[in-house]
Amino acid sequence: MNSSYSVSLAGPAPWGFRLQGGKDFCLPLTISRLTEGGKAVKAGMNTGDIILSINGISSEGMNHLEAQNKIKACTGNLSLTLKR
Amino acid sequence: GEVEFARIMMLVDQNATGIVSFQSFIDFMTRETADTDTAEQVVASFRILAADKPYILVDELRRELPPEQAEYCIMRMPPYKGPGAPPGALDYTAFSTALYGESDL
Repeated sequence: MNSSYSVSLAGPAPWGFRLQGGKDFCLPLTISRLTEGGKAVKAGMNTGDIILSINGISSEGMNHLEAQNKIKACTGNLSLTLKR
Repeated sequence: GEVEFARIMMLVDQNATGIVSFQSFIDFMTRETADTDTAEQVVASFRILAADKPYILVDELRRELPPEQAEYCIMRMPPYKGPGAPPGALDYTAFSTALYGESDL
């Protein structure tokens, strides 16, 4: 049973996670690594969680660079919905 | 140095699509450098071409890489957004990490 949740990480970057995947890799956008003590860990994110949306924009169909750019463009709070 | 890098690039199979050529280059680079993160190695290679700057210029790519690879990079690299960068500066780090589908954010 998948459960989805949302986090809001207070800016600025770094957010403390490694993003993996994207449409160009035929993989969902997932968290492949977390920085110990980083913002992502403190917000309760887990390795293996799939990113469903970035700042309200659905990640479906995003390639890796697009997702990377959307996250990098965020100077304030970063809102993510994820599922595990 | 740059000459060595260009020589290595010439050893890679030239393919009609340029995308596959670049992949061959990546394979070559990763064969040469075991036990290290592959995206890191690509970033390091570009840093050499960029003379240690955190961004690379279109002219540098055209000068250092065979035409298909240069144009492929120019087309795909996002603009570098750091301080002090001239217009047209390209972010090779973002490009390299995206190539491997892994970005540290």
